[in-house]
Amino acid sequence: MYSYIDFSVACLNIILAILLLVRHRKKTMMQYLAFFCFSVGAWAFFVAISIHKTTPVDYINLYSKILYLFGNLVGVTFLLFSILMSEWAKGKKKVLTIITLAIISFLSFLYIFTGYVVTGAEIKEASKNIVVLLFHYGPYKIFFDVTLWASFLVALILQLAYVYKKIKSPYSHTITWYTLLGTYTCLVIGGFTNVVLPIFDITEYIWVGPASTVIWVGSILLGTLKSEVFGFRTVITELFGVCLIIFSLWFFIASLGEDVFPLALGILIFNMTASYLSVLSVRKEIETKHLIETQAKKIEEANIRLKSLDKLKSEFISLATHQLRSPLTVIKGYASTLTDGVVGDLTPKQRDLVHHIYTAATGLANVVEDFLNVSKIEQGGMKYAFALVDVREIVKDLSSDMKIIAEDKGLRFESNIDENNVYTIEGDSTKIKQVFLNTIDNSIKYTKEGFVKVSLSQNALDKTMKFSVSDSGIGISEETKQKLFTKFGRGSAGSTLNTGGSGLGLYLAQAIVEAHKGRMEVLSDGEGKGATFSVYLPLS
Amino acid sequence: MIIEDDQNLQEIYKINFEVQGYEVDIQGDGLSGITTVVEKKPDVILLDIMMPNMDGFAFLRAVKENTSLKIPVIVCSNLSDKATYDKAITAGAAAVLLKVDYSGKELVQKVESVVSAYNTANTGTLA
Repeated sequence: MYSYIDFSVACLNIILAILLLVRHRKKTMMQYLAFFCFSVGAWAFFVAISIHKTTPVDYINLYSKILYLFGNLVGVTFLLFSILMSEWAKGKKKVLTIITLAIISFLSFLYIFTGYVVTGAEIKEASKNIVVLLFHYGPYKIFFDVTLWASFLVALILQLAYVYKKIKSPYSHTITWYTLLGTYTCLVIGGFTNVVLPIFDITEYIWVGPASTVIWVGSILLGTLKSEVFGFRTVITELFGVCLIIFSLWFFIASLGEDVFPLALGILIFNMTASYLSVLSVRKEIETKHLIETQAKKIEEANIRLKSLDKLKSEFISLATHQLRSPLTVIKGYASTLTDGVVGDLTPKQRDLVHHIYTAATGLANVVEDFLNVSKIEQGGMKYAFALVDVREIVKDLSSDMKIIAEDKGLRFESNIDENNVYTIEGDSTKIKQVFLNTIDNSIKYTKEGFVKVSLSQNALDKTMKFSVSDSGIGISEETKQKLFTKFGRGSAGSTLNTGGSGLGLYLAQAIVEAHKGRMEVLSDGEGKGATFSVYLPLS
Repeated sequence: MIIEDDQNLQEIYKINFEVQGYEVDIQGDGLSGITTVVEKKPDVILLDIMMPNMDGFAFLRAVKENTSLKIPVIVCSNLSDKATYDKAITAGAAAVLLKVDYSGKELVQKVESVVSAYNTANTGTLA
């Protein structure tokens, strides 16, 4: 029964060896780790077969020799692996390969074809569970003991030195600690049961050594998994693939000479292809995942930078606005003090001039206000204080104020305000008033003679109100209509008229109207033919 | 009392208020404002925000915590953001005005209307 345990462990080790080879084909160090695994597996296999009940007695001698050969190779391959890991052999790969081949050839010859180390074995006793062997050694049995222990000792020193020096290798330290722990635990157990005890002719426990290598396999797998978080799926897929291939291979071999041979061959080929492809695809997926993670991190960092830039920008604008307003306040303050006659009267002409200073300063303050509002809108920081607003009141107040300004300019001012309905909307009264004011102001600005007409009406069907301002001014061409509501977009005729302002008025007006779920519209028959601006807003 | 660090504005306000018959006291920052407000007991305070040594908010806090004076404080600033507005109102300002919007005379008129509204609200007497 114990032989079955060892057979399974042998399989496990061989699967691990294949896995490692498949995965790290190109890395010499891992190839040697795979050889080590294979040696362990082969050793376990030959222990199993030696103590197996149905093994023909004549073969036991041969099997024992091979057993010891692989036992020695276990030490040798582990040492070679450690040498590679410690990077001593950097650049000396070719030399190492030659040495490896030489060692293997020599040892194979020594163990199998000569009797210097082991001559054979005989069955001491056979019971239900186990066959206990008695090994017969040659004169140089000490060679086995010395090389085995020396290999592991040197390997241990090299590995510890590696961990100590923390040499930069693509494999993290996790795998090293796990290898160390796993290997030396097995070494202690296996060394005791398979090397020490047989010296005293206690060979009942030689099955324990190979069985204990399951600890070593487990530790290697754990180390691999831990050092490559995303490698879990790849490992499982590869494991599955390898197992599938092994079983198909076994089926194939078993079917040689039978009728199912073609089927077995087909299954084998299919499984090999399928496993290879699935491993490839899982690897690709993992790679993509990795890439996405890196990109996500980069985006996160860029986002943080952008946020801080945004903050800087709005702080700058706040500061700039405040600094621009301070001297403007002073200009307006002094100018108005002069025109109001507070420090003595001015002549009408003087008063007129000083008043222009006041108006220009006010204009500039409005421009600053516009810039501030535009930047607020663009940053999404424009805040509205929504409440129920009586639009008619606002329009009436504005009309009476603007009437004076229009008539001062020699224009006829008409207002057609519907008195029969309710004009309540949900909105920010200050901002809505600003929009209406801008619209009327624009009309007056761009009309040299004629009229400006303000009207307020509603459409009962879709519950919207319409505020519109018509004028007999310079009109708007088709192409100008396109860019009218854009930032700084003025009509071509408008730019010859020095009207001051920021060119942002309509852009802001539209933004405010849209925030109130309304829309703005412009109608004009062309240049020189006047225009009508309308604001549609939903009634509450 | 006008608490404002810009010397030009100090002069402009002083001239405009005095011509209307008011007595004007000028303080250059919150600190000197705090030390004189109890002694002078003004009928209204015009308070700037951006000042050295002690800004407008600190002044408002200090008045609230250290005195039991009930004087209308009108914040006059060139800051127009909502955060400033909210902060001023919460700190107890009677009104918040944007300096650049007013001429000298207009400011006096606005202050007068704020004060009478404040007094009506606080004494319950019908104007």
